[in-house]
Amino acid sequence: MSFDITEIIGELAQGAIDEAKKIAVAALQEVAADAVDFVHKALPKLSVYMTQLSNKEITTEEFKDLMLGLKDLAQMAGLTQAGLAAIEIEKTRNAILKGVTSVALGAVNRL
Amino acid sequence: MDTKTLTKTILFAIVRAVIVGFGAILIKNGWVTAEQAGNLTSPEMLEAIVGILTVAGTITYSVLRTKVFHQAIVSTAQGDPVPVSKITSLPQTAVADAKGDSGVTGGNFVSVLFATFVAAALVSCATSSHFDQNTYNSAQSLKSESLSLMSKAPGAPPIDQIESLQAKLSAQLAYEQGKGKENLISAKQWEILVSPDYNLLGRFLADWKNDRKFSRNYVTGKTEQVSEAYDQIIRLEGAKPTN
Repeated sequence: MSFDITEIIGELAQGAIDEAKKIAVAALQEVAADAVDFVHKALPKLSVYMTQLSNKEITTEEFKDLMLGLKDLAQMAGLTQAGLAAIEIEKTRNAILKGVTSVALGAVNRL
Repeated sequence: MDTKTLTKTILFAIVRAVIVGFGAILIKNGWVTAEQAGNLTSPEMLEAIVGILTVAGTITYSVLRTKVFHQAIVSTAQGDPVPVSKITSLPQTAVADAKGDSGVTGGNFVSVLFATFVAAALVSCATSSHFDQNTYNSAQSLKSESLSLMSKAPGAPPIDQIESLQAKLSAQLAYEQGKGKENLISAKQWEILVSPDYNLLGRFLADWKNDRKFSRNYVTGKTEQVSEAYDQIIRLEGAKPTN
């Protein structure tokens, strides 16, 4: 029995879109949650550094270095989120690949 | 030879010829080496093969849809021309036998080609490295060693211990960078932690070794930041899939 290629393309595309939507929503929620979490953790530290500076418990140069360290930590947190998103994409890619392979094998059997 | 078999034979012969021809062109132009050609699992070869198959499939399908071509096949097989009305719905029933067999396999073949193309595109687009137990263990032990060393600040810099830790960190960074583009994110994290161009551990060790004077509050703050940075690295590595 022959089958309609457009139907297959449509099914594959829809499957990929559905999975991508799930990932996008989950990733955005995770990024938002982590960004809020990072700010929650960073703000108190910033407050501590400013207090220490005003009390001359740290020098201006040390305050600047600590601020720059916070900036680097923010970058690392962003990289972690990017890495976690990439892992989710990899999982989805493997799931789609599995589906595509099934389609291919099924079509080969019909040849 | 019946019509279906004849069509199938011609179809596969065309595709085979195109693949062989394109493959030779790719090797001749240096786009794929002979060694890579022999290694079907290499990403470059896979992309090349899939590209060829896609082009071949498109060409073949287009040819099959040509009524003139199909009519020539059918009339050759049956000895008399088939009405055009019977060959307008490729690849479905134009050459189906009286028992409603599967007919021309062009549509099925293109479906296989498309599925193969999508599969190869997905395979060749690697996005994340896999979990590395060595990296995970190293991150844990280097974290412990780093925090232990930093606890000795703001005392006199223990040069030997600082240099020993710096050497280990450099080696770990090189190891992560050596894993290739799939590990770019983790490698960047290690770089931010280790390099004196940033403002975490690498900078701290370099300043301390150069006998910069620190306040105790500064050391406490920087130690917390270094600990957090290691935790980010460990968190990401721990989330990676295993092979």
